[in-house]
Amino acid sequence: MSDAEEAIRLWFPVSRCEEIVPRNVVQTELLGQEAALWRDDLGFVNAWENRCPHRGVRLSIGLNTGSELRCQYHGWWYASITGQCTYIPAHPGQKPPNVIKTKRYGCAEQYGFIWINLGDQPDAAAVPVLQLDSYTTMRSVFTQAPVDLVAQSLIEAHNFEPATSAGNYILETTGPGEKSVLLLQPMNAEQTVIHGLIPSLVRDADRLSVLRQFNGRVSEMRDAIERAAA
Amino acid sequence: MTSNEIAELFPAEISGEWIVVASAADLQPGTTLIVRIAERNLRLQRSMDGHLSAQLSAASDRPEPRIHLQTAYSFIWFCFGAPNKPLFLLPEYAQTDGRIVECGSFGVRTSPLRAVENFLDMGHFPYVHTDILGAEPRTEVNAYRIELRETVDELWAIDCRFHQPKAAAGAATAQETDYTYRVVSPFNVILYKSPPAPHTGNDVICLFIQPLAEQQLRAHLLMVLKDDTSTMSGMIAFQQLIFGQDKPILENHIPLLLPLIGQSEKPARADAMSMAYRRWLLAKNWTYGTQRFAQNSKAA
Amino acid sequence: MIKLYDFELSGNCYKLRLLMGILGVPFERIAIDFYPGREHKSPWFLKINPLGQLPVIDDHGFILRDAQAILVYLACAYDPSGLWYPRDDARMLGRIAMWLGCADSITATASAARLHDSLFYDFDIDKCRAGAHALFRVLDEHLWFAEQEGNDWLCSSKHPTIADIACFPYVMLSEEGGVSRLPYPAVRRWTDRVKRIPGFMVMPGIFGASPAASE
Repeated sequence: MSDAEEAIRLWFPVSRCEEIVPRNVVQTELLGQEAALWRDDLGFVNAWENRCPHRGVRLSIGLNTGSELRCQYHGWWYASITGQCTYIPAHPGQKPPNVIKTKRYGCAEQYGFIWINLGDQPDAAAVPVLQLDSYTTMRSVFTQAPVDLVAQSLIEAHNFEPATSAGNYILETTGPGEKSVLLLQPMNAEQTVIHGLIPSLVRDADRLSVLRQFNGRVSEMRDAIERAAA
Repeated sequence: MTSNEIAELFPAEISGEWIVVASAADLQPGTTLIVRIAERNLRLQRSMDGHLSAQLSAASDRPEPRIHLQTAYSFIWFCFGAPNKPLFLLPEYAQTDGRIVECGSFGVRTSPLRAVENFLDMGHFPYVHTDILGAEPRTEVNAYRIELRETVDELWAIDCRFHQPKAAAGAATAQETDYTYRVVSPFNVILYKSPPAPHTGNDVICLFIQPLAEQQLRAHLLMVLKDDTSTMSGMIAFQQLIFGQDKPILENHIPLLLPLIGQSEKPARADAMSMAYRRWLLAKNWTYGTQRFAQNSKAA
Repeated sequence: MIKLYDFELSGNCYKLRLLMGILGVPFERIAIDFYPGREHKSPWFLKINPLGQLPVIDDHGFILRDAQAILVYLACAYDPSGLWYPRDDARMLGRIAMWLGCADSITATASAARLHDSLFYDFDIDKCRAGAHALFRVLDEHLWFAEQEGNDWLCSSKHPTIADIACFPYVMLSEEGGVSRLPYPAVRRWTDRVKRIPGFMVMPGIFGASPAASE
C-alpha cells in the first residue's frame, strides 16, 4: 500500500471545535481533498466534500441556514447529518432523487479539535489516543511547506518527538517541563497546518498571554520552516 | 512543417474553430497586438489599408498561411487550418434599431466550457443574480425545447421563459422574459431575450470565449439592445454587473475542467440544455477543457 | 443628494455604497465606463479628479476623492451615532488610521492581482499575490486574537468602524486575483460578521451570508 493510501485511512485534525461557529462554513483541505465544515444549530458538525453534487461548485461559498447547507449556485438544499438534497428550487414541486447527496467524510470531535477521515469506512475508534486529562487548544498556524518537511524540522531543529507510535503527524516537546503537542494537518503537497495544544487547563487570567506566547513560538518555527522550504 | 508539428501547435479541437482573439477596436490600422490562444502567443497585425495578418511568435516572421482571420461583430476572429464551417451569422448586428454595446473582456480562471454552460443556465438566476434576473419564490424552470440544427451544427434552446425583477438596464418593472439560447460553436454562444416594454423584437447578448488555456479564458461580451433611453455607460455597467456575479461561481467549480463523462455531477430536468451541450461536445470527441480520467491503474 | 462617480466592479467604489447603504444615506450613482472605456482618464473626468481615479463623491458641490478619505467624511457627516468613526477616542482614531493604511496596502496587492487576472493589467502577479498573503496572515492573526478578547471587529471595539468597511471588499475579492483565503479562517468569520451588519449590500464577486441564528 502506498503512503497516500495509508494516509487516507488516518484521522487528522482540521480545525479547533470552537472555530466551527454557527451559520458559518469552513473551507479546509486534507491530503489534496477540499472539505466544507459546518455546524448546524443543534451543534452537529458536518464534514463534506467541498463540492455540490449538482455542478461541482464549492459548498464553502454556500449558506449555512442552521439546518441545511444551501449551494450558492442554484440554491439546492443539503440536510445536516445525512447530506441528502431536500429541495431543488428549479423544480419546487418535486422531491429530489435520493441519489443526490453530498459526499460525507468521517468526522469526530476530540481534544478540542474536529478530526476528519477521508476513507470509505471511517472508524472513530481510530482517532489517535493522546494521554490527556485536560488540555487547552492553541491557535492553528498555516505553513507553506509540505508535512514531511514540517515534521522533520520540528524534530531536528525544534526539540519535538513523535507523541504516538502512529507516525510523525503528532509531535510533543522532548525533555522535562510542561509539554506542548503539535498536530499536523497535511493540506496538500505544499501546505501544512500546525495545530497545537498544551496538556493542561489554563487559568482565565493567564489564557491570553499563554495563547500569545504559544502562537509566537509556533510562528517563529513556521517562519524558519518556510525559509527552509523556499 | 510536418503534420505532427502542426498538431503540436494547437489542440485538435482548436483547429478549424472560429475563435475570438481581440476586440477590433484594439487593433487599429498600422498597429500590432500580441494575443494568446491555447497557451500560444499570436502576433496580429493590421496594415494601414486594413489587411489582417498573423504570425505565431515562436515561428518565422512570415505570416502563417494556415491562419485565417476576419473582422466581424466588433471582434477579430481566428481560425487555424481549414474552417469547420463559416463564421456564424448574426444579422441583428447590422440592423439599425439595435444599439451595439461592447462591454469589454474579462479574464476568468475556469474551463471555457464551464463558462458557456453557465451562460445556458436559467436555474441560477435567483441565486447568483438575485433581484435582477431572478428572485425567490419565482425559481421554477419550466420545460423548454432543444433543437440540434444539423445543417449549421448549432444547438438551440427555445421556449425558455423566466420571471425577472430587472431584465435589463432599461427595465422599469419586473417581466416574464422569453429566452432563446443559441450555441453556434463550442466557445461561442448567443442569447435572444425579449426587451423591456414597449420595445419588441429581441435583445441580443453574446458571450464569445477566447481560450487562453484549458482552465483560463478571456470572455468577450457584446450586446445588441433595443434600448433608446439608457446611457451607454449604464448598459455596459449592467452587463458587467451580471458577468461579475457569474465570475465567482465559474472560478469555484471542483474541478474547473468540465466532466463530460461519469456521474460526478447530477443534473435536474432544468439542465436539459447543459446536458445537450455536453452530449454535443461528446459527439465531437471534444476533450479540450474537459476532465479526463486516467486509466484505472490502481495497484491491488 | 450625494453623487457617487462609480464603477460597478470596483471594490473601492463598493465600500462607499456599502457605508452609505448601512447609514441610510441616499446617493445617486453615476456610472463611469472605467473598463473598457477608460472614462476615468477622459478630459472631463480629469477635471473632477486630476488623478484619474475612482471613486469620487460630490456632496452638494463638495468634491472628495480617495475611498478611505471619503469613508472618514461620510462617517463624520452622516453617522449621528458616532460609532463608525469615534471622533473623541484617540486610540480608536489611531487604530482606524492604521487599518485604513492597511486597506490601501490590500488594494496595492490583492486588488492589483485581481486587475491583473481579470482586466489584464501589467503587474508583477507573483509579487502582488505574495504581498496579499503577507497582509492576510497578519489580518488573520489579529482577528483571531480579537475574537479571543471578545472583539468582533478590526479596531478592538464592540461596534464595527469604517476600518472594517475599508478592508472588507478587496479581502473578499482576493480569489479573483488567485489569492485563496483558505488559510485564513478567522478572516472568513470576520467577513461573515460584516455581511450580517444591518443594511449590508453585495457587489459582483461578493455573496451575502445566511441570517444569524436567532438568540
